[in-house]
Amino acid sequence: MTDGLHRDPASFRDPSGHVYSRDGRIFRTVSAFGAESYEFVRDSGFLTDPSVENRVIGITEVPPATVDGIGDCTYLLEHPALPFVSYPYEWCFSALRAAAILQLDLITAALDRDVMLSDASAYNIQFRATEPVFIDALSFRPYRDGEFWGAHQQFCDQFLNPLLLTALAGIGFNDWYRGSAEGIPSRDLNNLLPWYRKLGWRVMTHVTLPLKLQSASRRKSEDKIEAIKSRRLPKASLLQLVSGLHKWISGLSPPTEQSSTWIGYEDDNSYGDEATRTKHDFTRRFAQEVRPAILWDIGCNTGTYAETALAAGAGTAIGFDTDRAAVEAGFSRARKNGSMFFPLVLDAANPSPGQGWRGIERKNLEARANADGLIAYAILHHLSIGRNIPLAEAVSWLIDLAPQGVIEFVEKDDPMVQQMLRLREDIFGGYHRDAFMAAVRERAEIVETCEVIANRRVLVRYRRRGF
Amino acid sequence: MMSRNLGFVFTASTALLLGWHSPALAYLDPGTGSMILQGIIGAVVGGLIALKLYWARLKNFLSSGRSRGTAENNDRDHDSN
Repeated sequence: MTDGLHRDPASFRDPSGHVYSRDGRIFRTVSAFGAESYEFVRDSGFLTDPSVENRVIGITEVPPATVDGIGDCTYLLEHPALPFVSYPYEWCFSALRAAAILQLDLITAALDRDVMLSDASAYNIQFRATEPVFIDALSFRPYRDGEFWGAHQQFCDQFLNPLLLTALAGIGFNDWYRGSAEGIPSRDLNNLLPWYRKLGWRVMTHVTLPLKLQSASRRKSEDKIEAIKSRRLPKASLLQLVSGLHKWISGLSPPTEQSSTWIGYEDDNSYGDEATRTKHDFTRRFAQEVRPAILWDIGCNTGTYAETALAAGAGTAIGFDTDRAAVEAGFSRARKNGSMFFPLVLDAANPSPGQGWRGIERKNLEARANADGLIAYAILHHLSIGRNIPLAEAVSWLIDLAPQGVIEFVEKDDPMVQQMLRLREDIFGGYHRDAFMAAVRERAEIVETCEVIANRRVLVRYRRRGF
Repeated sequence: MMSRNLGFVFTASTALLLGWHSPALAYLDPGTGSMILQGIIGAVVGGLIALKLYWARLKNFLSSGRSRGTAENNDRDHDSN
């Protein structure tokens, strides 16, 4: 492979083309196999349709000869780079729902131009802040009159079933989705749903019945199955199937059970308005001076400090929190305000691993660390005392994520830490401010400190050594 | 709306007919169930369109003589469905 040109390890399924990157530029080859489809879609006017244009990633044709080592291809496309690549198992409910709606909207708009989507992978959707954008230009191909929606089952596994798992069974989909990577299989969902949920005709149509037909098809002869498969689905019926799902999914919401310890935390914490103001002021100054293009907020809660950083000059903020309801609230607020904040569900003590084919198809969190600024407020005690992670390791992990940032240290005397220690033995002799400062100094220089509450909470702004 | 109601009746009756079986672990594409379902929807919808067409023809036949042009219009309407 030519120097600096990397083929995306997730781009191997489709013989129509592959994705490469070099120096922050993203290229997509179109093979001879995929060329005819691409030409049809390009010339159909679908991609420049006003209802589609901003919802599909930008595509610019580039002469293949201008990119060294790109190899044999009929067309070469360039896409704008995204600020961050996230995966559906890191999204909150509303984010997955928005992605599902985008997928369905695109099918409807595409069919209007006799274009069809060949698959329904949630990994084909990424987010620009809270707006989903479809990134796989080669998923579009000519519609064949009367064809089935071949990706219906994939749509169910990757979009519908995870949403139903949460909306109807009250189970957050993230951990299950991460485990299976290709979504929640209908069989699992069907086994889990209470019987009365299965009486609904929509659950029956999209979950239960396909399963039963699948089982029943085992006893049918190959000819019979082929005969059924060779039938036609009128375009109007296909559109109705899609619009029915659209209406259903639009009305799904996470159960109100998602009561959260942290959602009211910004109003109900152990420190008052003065301390909150101090934290916002320090965050504002950090963002004004560093102007991070990408800021990561570890333990973001609903993201109020990230929003402060954005208002002060940060470009995009990616938030991470283990609390789904807080992420949900942050996502909804950011979407409503058109903010550049995008919160994700993530447990910092168990961040997303590399997985999929060869363990690199979906990158682990650290491999996607591209932030130039970090805030990590009131997270260290959760890692060090809540999860027994050695303080210095937790500090080092945070500093690895971004070259500059602000980390808050909460002393053991703080009521929030006291609450954590109330029912457990204090085995955390190494958890104190001096140890924290030493751990920061080990990896970075301390630019500035700020007492949020004297002897209880301190903010430390660091600059990583060698940066 | 009509085909939605039809879809409900169809799904309910098919589910009852099929009964409940343990999941198959055959060499079948996992989308087979969805394909068969869409094939059946296609057949049902096709049948419905044909029925509507015959019904319209029957109505026109019964009221023949009064307006021959209506039958042609109806045919055209249903063809565009």
